[in-house]
Amino acid sequence: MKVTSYAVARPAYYDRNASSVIQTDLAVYAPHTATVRVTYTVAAGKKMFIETSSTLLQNSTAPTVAGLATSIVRLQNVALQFTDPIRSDTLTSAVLTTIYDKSLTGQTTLYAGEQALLITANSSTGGTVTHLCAFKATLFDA
Amino acid sequence: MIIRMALIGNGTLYSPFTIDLPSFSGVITNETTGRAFVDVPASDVSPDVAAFVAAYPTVDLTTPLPVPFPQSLANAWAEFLARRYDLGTAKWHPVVF
Repeated sequence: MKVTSYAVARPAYYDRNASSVIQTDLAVYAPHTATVRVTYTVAAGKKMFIETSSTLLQNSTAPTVAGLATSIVRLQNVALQFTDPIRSDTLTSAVLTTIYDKSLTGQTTLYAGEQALLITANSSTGGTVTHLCAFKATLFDA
Repeated sequence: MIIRMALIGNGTLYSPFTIDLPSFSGVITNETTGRAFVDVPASDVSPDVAAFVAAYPTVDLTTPLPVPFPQSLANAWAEFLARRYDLGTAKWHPVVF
């Protein structure tokens, strides 16, 4: 008698046509309104685990008037609802003495149509700020 | 490939300036002219759009294109992206600017 098992184990996500997605925006920017520097959208039939992300800010040259500078990693669904799981902010005019950095490790899932965005903003007057936003993810068959 | 695109959004943290594309990186903006240089994955650029970009190279974020980006090409690019990402109706309507 032939015995057939219907409980075939599904391969782990990293064995389902997986590939690594790394996106980084590292630059020195003058004051600017909030701007998306990077967007990555998960295509149909795929899922993506955000495994690690980081943000950093450092004043490069002093502003005349310090405003809020920020680096953000944003996750957004198809309804454009979003969460900012990690962001760095500074309101100081001190130059180079302090780095405002954060990092996050986990396994946040993005489904088809959802997006990871890297955003910067700086409302100071004058000066420049080094912004870093980055994430590393694994994209795989859903 | 680097393409000069139109900005959308209003520059707030709730609606930051962005590009109407599913995936891109390396954004350099000019908020006054509403233009940005953007690195778009080659797989997201249809051949006819790539040909248009090659025919009208841009070197700054201020000088207008010698001819407007044709609406027919914009529609075709939107449909190309809708097919590629297979997420239903055409969600993105990018404009070379």
